Amino acid sequence: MHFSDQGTSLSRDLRAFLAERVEPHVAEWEVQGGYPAREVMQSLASSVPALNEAIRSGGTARLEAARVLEHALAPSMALGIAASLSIQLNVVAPVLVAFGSAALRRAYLSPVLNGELLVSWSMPDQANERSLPTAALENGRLVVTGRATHVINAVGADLHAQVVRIRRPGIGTQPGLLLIPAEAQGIEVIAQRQIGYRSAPVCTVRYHGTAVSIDMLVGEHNTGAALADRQRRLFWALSALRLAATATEMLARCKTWCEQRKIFGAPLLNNQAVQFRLAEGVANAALTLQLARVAVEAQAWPEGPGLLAEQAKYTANQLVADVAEMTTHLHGAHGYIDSSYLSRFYRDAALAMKCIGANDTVLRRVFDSEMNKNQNRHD
Amino acid sequence: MTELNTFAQDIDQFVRTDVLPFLDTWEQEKHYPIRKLIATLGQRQVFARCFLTDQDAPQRYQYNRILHERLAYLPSGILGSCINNHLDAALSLLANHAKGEQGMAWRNDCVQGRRVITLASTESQTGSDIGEIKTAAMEQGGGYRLNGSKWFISNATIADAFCVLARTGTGKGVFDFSLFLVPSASAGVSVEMLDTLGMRAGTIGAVRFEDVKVDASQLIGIKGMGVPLTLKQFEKERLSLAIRSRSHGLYHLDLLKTYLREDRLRAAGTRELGRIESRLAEHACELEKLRVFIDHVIDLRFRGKPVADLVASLKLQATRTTKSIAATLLQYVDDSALVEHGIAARFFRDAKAASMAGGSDEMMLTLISRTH
Repeated sequence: MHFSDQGTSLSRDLRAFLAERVEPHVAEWEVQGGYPAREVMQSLASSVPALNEAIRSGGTARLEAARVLEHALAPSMALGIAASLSIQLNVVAPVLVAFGSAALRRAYLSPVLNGELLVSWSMPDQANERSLPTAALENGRLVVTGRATHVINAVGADLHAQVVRIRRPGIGTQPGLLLIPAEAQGIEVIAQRQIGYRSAPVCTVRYHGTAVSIDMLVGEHNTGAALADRQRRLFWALSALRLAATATEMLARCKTWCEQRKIFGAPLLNNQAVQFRLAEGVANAALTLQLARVAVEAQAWPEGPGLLAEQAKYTANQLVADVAEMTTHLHGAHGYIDSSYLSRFYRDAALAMKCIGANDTVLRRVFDSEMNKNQNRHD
Repeated sequence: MTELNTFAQDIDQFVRTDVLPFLDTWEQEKHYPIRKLIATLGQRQVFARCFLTDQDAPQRYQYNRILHERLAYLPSGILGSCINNHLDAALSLLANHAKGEQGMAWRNDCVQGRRVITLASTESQTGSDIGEIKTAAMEQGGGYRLNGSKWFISNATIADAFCVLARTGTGKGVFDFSLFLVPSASAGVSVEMLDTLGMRAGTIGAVRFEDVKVDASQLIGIKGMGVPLTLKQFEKERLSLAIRSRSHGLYHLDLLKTYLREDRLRAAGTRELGRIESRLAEHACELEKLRVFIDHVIDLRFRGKPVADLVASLKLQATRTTKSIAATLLQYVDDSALVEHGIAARFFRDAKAASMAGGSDEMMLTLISRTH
């Protein structure tokens, strides 16, 4: 993957940090059912200050830093931790930079970037938008009721970044992004161990009439829907990049295994069937990686990103399904041991494919767009 | 047909009363009472009607098939696997080749479910390559001394005895290996449980043999015939795997139908019902194709025809189909099924094991390509 000089330098620093502070501990955190998010993020902020500088600068520098981070996280083989860091640094922090009010930026931007505050994010697929929590305007405050699913970073969060449907008398209902302090009354975090993301569990959060100041709304009142959609697409594109980069790393490790593993007196890799299967995976991963890269960069295009994020997420979903299946398979029973990184990838991939950007959600958007295109051509 | 129907109903009853009510708890605890379940099936004369010998009447195959189909029509893949290892991999070896009073006693106890037995051939560094097996039985004083270790052995943690494939010759040829019946209580045998991605019954393990004294009477079959006998067992295991995979897939396809009928998918936010319906129909066609193919292979086997390549094709296709159904279920069911012990997550994890057990897909493809 090509980066600018600054990006290359940032990538080097990030990889060194993650190799020392994250990768050796992932297996232990998986067993414990959580990773020390604040500690890791604080340490990251002090060890690699260039990352925060890039995020603060916004624009293309910020998007390159986001790409660098997603790439650097691939060797950790823990899609949950990668999603957790990505939510905090690539999704929440940039939203504050670009759309947060001066007061919100002043109060939260530095603590979020420095890892002093952990922020959760819930962004359901569009298909589920009707099931978003609602927020009713009462005496200058928004009262939130309902349930959010697939929430990343919810356990131990200080702040919940939550897309809600805001009911406004005479206007109707519009989505908006609300920052909800975790100490507010009536918040219940339901952590159920799921098939994957053991070190950074995905949770359900329930709001039972939680009252929040209207000043905690990010962006203008009438831009909530666009903001929610924009961030959803950004996360799809970043997720696609993360999945493609991790799949690429997994294929490289699998190749090494197949070189070393001897079967019938010769390396497993000597079998043409194995060579071709790996080659197909590598080719597919390379194409997906490029599509995901463009999908991330496209977030800053003046004409808009089109459907690149949707296409990238769908392609990446298909890629990880194939690579998870192939790599565990080629490792035989070794890939089926629960504590192995192969099993972890297999489990995490299952959740990553379903969680935020499920196949049918993204395909529906591609299909709708294609149908519109045909109509335009006839016109 | 009546007897077969009664047998099928008995197995269904066993599943309803002895298995289904407890399945979720066993799964969460990563512990299935397999010994107790095998004992129950043995007492009900299930194994007596199902174990396969080299000269079997056709009806025995039908009983065996019914047992595997019924035990796999569950939200769990491990129960059928444990029964298969006891019944088809190990017990049928004893049924054909047990020797002396001791051997016959083991055979009878296993048929009655009083003892559990399993085949131990795989090693950590060998996988499907039996020629690379390192576990060795060195002749000593009219008997043998067994040293080595086996890995990823089904029923390892509960077995009373292992049918161990060990090197008795110096080369890598077909006749350099023998099978031994080794009780797990023998001095020098130790077992360690392996925590696996799926198939969480707490029964898969690694077995170590340290200078274990083995009497010549513990040989299964004759010396040097270990590989041919093991390969024969693999064919039975693969056929059973295919039958179980299809049935396991069918259970989950039926579950998806129930979800559709109850409109649970729409409630969970899935809009693409047309797409689910077409996927469901595709899977139904694949499962029907497999059912017909199973009938065909069993019929050929009755008539003494060689079916190794057809069994390989069947196993390959059945396990692939089941994995594909698991992927469909994972995409469409509601979130509750994605929790670690939820049905979709469990199916996704368990279905993966079937394609690895009894020889990988590549082994199946090699077998098929060699024959054609």
